[in-house]
Amino acid sequence: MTKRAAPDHQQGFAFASDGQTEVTPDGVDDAAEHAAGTTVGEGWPADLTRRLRVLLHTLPLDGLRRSDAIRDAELRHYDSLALALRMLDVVIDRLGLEAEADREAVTRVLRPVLAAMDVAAGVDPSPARHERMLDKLLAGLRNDADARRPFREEYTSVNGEGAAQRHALEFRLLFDAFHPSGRTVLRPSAEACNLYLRLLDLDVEDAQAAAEAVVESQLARGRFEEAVHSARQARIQSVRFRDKVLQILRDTRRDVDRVDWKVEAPRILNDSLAHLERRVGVERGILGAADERLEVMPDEEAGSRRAVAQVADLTRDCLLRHAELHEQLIGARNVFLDAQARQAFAPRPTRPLPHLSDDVLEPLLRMPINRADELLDHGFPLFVGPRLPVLASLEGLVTWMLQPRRPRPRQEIDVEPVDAADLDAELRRYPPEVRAAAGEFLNVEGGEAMLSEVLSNARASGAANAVLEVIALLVLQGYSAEDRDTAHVAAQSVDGAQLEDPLFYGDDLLVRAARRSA
Amino acid sequence: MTTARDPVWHASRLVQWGLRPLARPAQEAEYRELVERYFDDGVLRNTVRELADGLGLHVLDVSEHGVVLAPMEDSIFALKPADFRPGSSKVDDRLLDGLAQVAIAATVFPRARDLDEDPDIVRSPVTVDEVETQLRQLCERLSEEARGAPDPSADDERRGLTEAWRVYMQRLDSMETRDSRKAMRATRRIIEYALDRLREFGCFTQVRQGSEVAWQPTRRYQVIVQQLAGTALFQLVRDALNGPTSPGEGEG
Repeated sequence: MTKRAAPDHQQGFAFASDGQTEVTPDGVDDAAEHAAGTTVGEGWPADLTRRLRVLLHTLPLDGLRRSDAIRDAELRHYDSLALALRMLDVVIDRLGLEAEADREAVTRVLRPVLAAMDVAAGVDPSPARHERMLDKLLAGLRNDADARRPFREEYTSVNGEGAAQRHALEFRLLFDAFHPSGRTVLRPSAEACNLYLRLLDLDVEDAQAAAEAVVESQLARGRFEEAVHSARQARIQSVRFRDKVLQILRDTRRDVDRVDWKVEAPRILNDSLAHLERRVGVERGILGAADERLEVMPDEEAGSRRAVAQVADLTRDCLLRHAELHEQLIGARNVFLDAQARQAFAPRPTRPLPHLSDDVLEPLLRMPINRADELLDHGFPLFVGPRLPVLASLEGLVTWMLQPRRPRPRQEIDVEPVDAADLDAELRRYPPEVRAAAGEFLNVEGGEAMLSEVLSNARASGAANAVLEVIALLVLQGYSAEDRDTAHVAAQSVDGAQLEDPLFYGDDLLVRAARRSA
Repeated sequence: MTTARDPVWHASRLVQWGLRPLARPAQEAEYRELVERYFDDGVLRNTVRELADGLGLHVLDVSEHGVVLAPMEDSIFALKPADFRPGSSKVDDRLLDGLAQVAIAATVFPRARDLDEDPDIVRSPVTVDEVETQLRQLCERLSEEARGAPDPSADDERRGLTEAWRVYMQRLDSMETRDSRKAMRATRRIIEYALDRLREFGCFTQVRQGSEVAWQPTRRYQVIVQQLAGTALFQLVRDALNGPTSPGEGEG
């Protein structure tokens, strides 16, 4: 499918077997040898090489797990394999969405898992320690130890003549990618997706059909929670499938030579179109079944209703993606024709590719100064991109000279006092039972008490933070002169009394039961 | 954006967006619309190409990340080493600035096949130390090789016939005798200045690696070096070594 040697990052299941770089251990490309099933010998079944290659992809994860035992003592209680899978789960789940996973998203999701492992090991959770562990995990999955190059695993296969041959398989699991928004996001390789989804032996089409069949059957049998999980899997497949097709179109736009538009790409696009039509039919079926279920389900089964609604949402998302993809597939042929026209004139990199240090930097350093200076005078502008020549504008100069002095930025911002009359709206945000509980605590024995006492009594009785907040709000309302008549309590300040509570800070107030008219 | 305007107007708008290295289609509706249109409209694409060509610009890449342009030989947009560092046009300074650029690119792309990778994949950040070490080790090796040979004559030095690596080594030596701490900073400063200027051109961003400052190449820089700069300079060097062909012929 791809003609270039190292598109190992390519996404899409159809690329999983041929999107990787296979080199013999001496570093010479050996793409012809790697195709699964070509190494047929008597003592070496055809698909053994393929299975071997599948197994090799798990070795980086195995390496992570083995490193658990030799990691810093404070990090040894973390199960890096479980964490790595959770990380892949987050990254794959968000693939193709606007909010693709980045370091922050991964941290947010993994922090509770890390904290749970801390608790299980009897260790206090620490954000700094969590960050360190996440660094290790990311480093392991991105192959930071080898400058984030693809992982390289060597193996032996036996060829048709019965001779053993050493090969090296290169692949990535996770890599940083530029996002159009300017962020750096984490993306899984096709291999990582296959690994995670445990579908190394299947086509994406089959896997998606299977996943959707599972959803249908689970819906029919009333296993709604499982159906949500399966619908999520089906959506992941749908994202992968979409990415596979979009990757062809992107590659074509970038470099028309990377994609075989004579045989391979039209075949994949035609298959995709047929597959898409089948999937859309199935998805409509699931959506219909889910909607029917929702109609007949009694309200008491709130949990099940939520699950079925979730299945419907996930399926609707799949349908939407497939509808968009359908549109793109219809116009795919034009992408090729346009790209061919566009790229015919683009400057092309010279082959073979240079080793910048050995082939460029070193010869330049060996050259006489004058010669090197002359060459760099020509080469230098290419490295920095275009600079903008500046044109003088008399009008601009005059405007600049006449503009008034900018006001100095204000150093202080006035703090607006809180209007206690607005507190009613604030109070209504809390459920009635919370407000009632707070009212109970404010019926102070003996007529009056300090706010700090009321709060500490409430806390001692096991009141939730929400109740404490309502107590503070009610007292503030009582403190406001305008609300004296309607407030639950009356409050007044006491000179020098300070309230120092874990939740609140400020002047302490004396609280007494209100003389309410109503 | 009005669609009734002439394609030349749209093409020139797209080129002007390409000349703003920090602008992104994701953040500018007009830019995004023009990039989408570029893919859909063959006439617009031709016009952009012709317009850029007339201005002396290569269109290296157009994608959802934006337009990446590069100056052609003698283009008004080409930043020559003499203009890189205001107030200095000495041969030695120009040479060191140029070598620093090549060393930065060689540190970002340490292997030949790195130049063939997808520019969407984020490459590792580099530090000033890494770039300097790369240059220094290379110069030290060349110095070692030249140990037995006679020293260059004063006349050769005057006429600029001594090897380029000696400039780097001299700069370091002459300053170390005065104040070694400052000298370290001085040699690093050439590289730091280069990286800082590249940041202004949208080619790098500054990031922190633990307590150290590092420089993260942007997609734009990766495209520039992968698509053009690396191979074009290689071609120039090869032509210079193989025969008296004039530089610039192999560019592009």
